[in-house]
Amino acid sequence: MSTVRFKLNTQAVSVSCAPDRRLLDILREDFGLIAAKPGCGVGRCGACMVWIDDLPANACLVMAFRLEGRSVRTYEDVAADAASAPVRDAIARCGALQCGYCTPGLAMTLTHLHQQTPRPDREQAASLLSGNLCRCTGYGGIQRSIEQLFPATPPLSADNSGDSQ
Amino acid sequence: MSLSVLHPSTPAEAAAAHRDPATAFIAGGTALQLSWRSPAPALTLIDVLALEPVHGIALQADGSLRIGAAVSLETLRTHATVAARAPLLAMACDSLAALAVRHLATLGGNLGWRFGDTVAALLAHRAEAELADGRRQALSDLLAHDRLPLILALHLPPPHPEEHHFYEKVGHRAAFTPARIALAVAVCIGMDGRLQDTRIGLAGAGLSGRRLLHAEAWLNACQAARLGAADRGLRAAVAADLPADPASARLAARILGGRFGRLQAGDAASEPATSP
Repeated sequence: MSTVRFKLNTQAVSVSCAPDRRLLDILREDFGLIAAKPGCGVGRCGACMVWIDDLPANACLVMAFRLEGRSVRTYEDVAADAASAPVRDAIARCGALQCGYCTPGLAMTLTHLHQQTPRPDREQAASLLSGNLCRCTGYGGIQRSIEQLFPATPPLSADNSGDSQ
Repeated sequence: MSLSVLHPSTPAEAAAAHRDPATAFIAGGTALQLSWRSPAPALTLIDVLALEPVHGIALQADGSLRIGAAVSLETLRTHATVAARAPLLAMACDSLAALAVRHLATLGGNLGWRFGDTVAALLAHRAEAELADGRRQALSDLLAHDRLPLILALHLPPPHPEEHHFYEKVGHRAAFTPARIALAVAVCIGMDGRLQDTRIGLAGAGLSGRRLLHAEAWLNACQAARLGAADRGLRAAVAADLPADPASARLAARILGGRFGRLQAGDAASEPATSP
């Protein structure tokens, strides 16, 4: 058992647990945050997508010890933020959901991409969504929402010369 | 005893802890934890992300590119300097996993797994590994070890200005599956149209990263334009590189023959391609 302290949505929290406990289980079992869904459990389906330090990450692949000092945002918080309104609106208008199980994860990735500067074009956005699987829609509605949210032509080259871990 | 985590503050401390066989280095952990069945094994993880030298991408005074082992695959995919100085690595990351996994996963982790797509690219770029004591060792030599030591960074020499690159990954699906094979190739074409300094890195499911030395030797001094996908000499050379896996050897030879056959002087085949 060890204690990790991190920021969860708007609050500073601490959790005492085994170091390899999954973030997904911490969110759902300890905090009742159930927007992140258990799916494949191996980082393939994206149903458990959260943002860690503002970057999309699969909560099923993140162990508790990695959370120390980090900032975690879940779809509960992102959905309550007016900045995600264009994405929520596009998903609803375009019929980009059926059963809804993948929708929080999908919305987390779409919102991240939609808030990037420069915004990716449709082809890039579709490619960057490859980690969010949907078993209902056949992706037609999701493709329409991409067309509503992202420009048809590529942006000017984005130079990422920053560094991440 | 259950799983525990060490947080060494220096490379020497991390390397010393690793002398215990019941330890493993962990960075992003995206691949490592998938090999466990619940409950986690009695293993001590050595967290390398807190080590200062494993971070950052920097051009060195000698013209080489130093890439910290903890740099994320998504950073590599989108980094302008990596695209210019290590194009095969950028291509490999472009067809590897998905965005959220690439944010978590690191170059060192993909390398430590041995079968990762980046290994093929690093080998073709003649990468050297920077070890805990500061020594550098050719990655191709290091991969011969049964248990890899702590790698702080990879050093890639500058590519030749006239170098051509191509990268091809063949999987059972177009995306999101371990590659059957990933091939990364760097090559120069002489004034006479002959291939020179060919380096072929290969990795894939069940195929730990390696250079295809027989194929490289056979290709050097060939006329690029006279190669074809069915070239017997090339097929025999690749088969000698992959004696235990004739199916992968045939696949690799077809890809190489086709790609080299299309490679003409002045026609850089540098588009990444992922075949379904």
